[in-house]
Amino acid sequence: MKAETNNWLKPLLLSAILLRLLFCLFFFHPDIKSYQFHAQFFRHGVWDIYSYIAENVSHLPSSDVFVYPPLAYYFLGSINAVSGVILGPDFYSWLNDWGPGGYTHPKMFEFMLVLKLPYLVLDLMLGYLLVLLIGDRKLNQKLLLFWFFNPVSLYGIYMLSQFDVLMALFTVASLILVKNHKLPQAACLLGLGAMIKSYPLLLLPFVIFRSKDKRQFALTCLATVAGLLLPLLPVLNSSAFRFTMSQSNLMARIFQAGIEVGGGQSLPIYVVCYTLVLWFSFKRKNETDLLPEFLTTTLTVLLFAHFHAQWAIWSLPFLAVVWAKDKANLWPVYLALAIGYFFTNFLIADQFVLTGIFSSLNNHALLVPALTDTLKNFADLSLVQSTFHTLLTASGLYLIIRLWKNYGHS
Amino acid sequence: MVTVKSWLITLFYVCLAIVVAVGLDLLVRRVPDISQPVVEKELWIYKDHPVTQTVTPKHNGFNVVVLYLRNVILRNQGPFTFTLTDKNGTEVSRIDLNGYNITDGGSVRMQFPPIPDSKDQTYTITLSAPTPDITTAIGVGYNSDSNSYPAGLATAENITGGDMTFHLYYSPQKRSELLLSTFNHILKSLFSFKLVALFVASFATVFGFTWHFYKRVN
Repeated sequence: MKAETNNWLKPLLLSAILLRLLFCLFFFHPDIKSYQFHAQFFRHGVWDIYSYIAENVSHLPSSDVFVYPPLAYYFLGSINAVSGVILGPDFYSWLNDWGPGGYTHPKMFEFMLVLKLPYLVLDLMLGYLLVLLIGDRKLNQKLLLFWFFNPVSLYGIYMLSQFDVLMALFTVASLILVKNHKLPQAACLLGLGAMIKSYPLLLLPFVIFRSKDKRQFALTCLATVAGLLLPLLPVLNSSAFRFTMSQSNLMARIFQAGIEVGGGQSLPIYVVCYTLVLWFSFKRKNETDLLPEFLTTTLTVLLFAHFHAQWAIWSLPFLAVVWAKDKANLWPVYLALAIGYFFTNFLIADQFVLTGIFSSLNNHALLVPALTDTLKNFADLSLVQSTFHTLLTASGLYLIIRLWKNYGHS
Repeated sequence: MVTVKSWLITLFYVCLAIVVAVGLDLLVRRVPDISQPVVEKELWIYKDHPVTQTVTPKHNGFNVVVLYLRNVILRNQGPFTFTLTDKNGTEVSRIDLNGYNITDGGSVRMQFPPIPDSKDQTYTITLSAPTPDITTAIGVGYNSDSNSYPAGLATAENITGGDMTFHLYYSPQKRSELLLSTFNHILKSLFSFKLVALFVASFATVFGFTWHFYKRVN
């Protein structure tokens, strides 16, 4: 039986790792350069990047600001320090070159491989946690095939070079911890996750609800505060940090889509859904499997907001579990979800959602205009994009409703 | 079955990436010619302080100049002019922009009809802006190392030697040559010793650790 398992597992892992390493090399998105440009100051002992940028913006070769919470900076700064040792001085020349040559450096493949290697490790760890979460060996093959070969994670992690996989790892780990009744640890992880990107904050109430008594409630709250506060300590007094955090992209976007009710009032659809999930969750507060709550909270961001492509990584692990567990044949729904997601995203007026990311493989790719520039004369792109977003929303809602039904809520 | 499936999917994704990357050449209307990509600092352009650069394209069909320009905190919202003149001083192209078109540090593309016999001819790029105030001047990338582009020279007030940051492009004559050059670029980039060593080491290490953990739960 063991040998049989290994028969499929070894080639699966070999091919998944090979594919990921090649995708690390092949694709470049300027965001990774922007993060790493800021992260390079970590090795010079800069802990408060927000004030450092505010004070030095006129001397820096790029005026981009660092928009993520401090733990993201420490994480990227650590990657930067290690990468600098492996890649040498050429790496820092490239990071500080914001001219046209910065997109087409001859050593781009090396830079991309080393910078994205930590993402690959996190991605594989996430697959491992999903196997632990699902806890049924018979489903592992289905789960891992989905996790390793779905185009959304390859696109978000390796093509767009985004580090959202780290928070996804934290949320899945906290889901497992809640299942094992370790609420303070789960809350602490979510707190730490929120110090990288803010969305794990939205998941915290579901964990806190599960407290069995006052002592556990106090411990869970304390662990949350510890997770949130520890990374904040070096920047607590920074007004530049407070200003940056007040500009949260996520919070602005989840309040955007609303239903007008007259009198100048609008009901934000995402917030309505989220509140509904809070009530459902409260009703089943003795259950420790938070999959429906976590999936709904993270997926509805895509469904009801003008999303960034990498936000799909937040809900993807939970979608993988649903895919593996649900006995029904859900591939048409998942296919519709993927089509809706990709084309909503490809129709954003940004060269680096599609053609630009190939610039590492083909330096001429930067000369090809964004898909929207090519198509705008042939169709009303807002309408086309809205149609694809509708497909995404309807398919996502179907999965969410189905999941809640499977968990005994009609 | 799973074994075959996983290798087939991998092969499909890798082939798709390479085919799309090479295929993008079919949509390209211009190809890089020569460049001086380094931005060491900026030269500031304002009233009576134009900046010029001589360039000598290596191909016929010269049709684009990409410059690194910087409009600090988007302060300049006035006119900005790019002119290209040939060795006789005849204006070949003139493009009038506005500070609105220039970001706080980024590439700006100047495009004009292809010059059919541009190969080995010398042209002068002149950038000028009428703003009288240096605080609203537009910066252009500059590298003081004259060896970075020996065939040309930047001139500005108090500047001797060095070059602007620029990339020249030409309109491709033969599409097949373009596809071949991209394919060569991919192969050349893939087979550097350091990259192969890093790739193999990463692959072996990551697989070793992953296998160690995964085999316990499967």
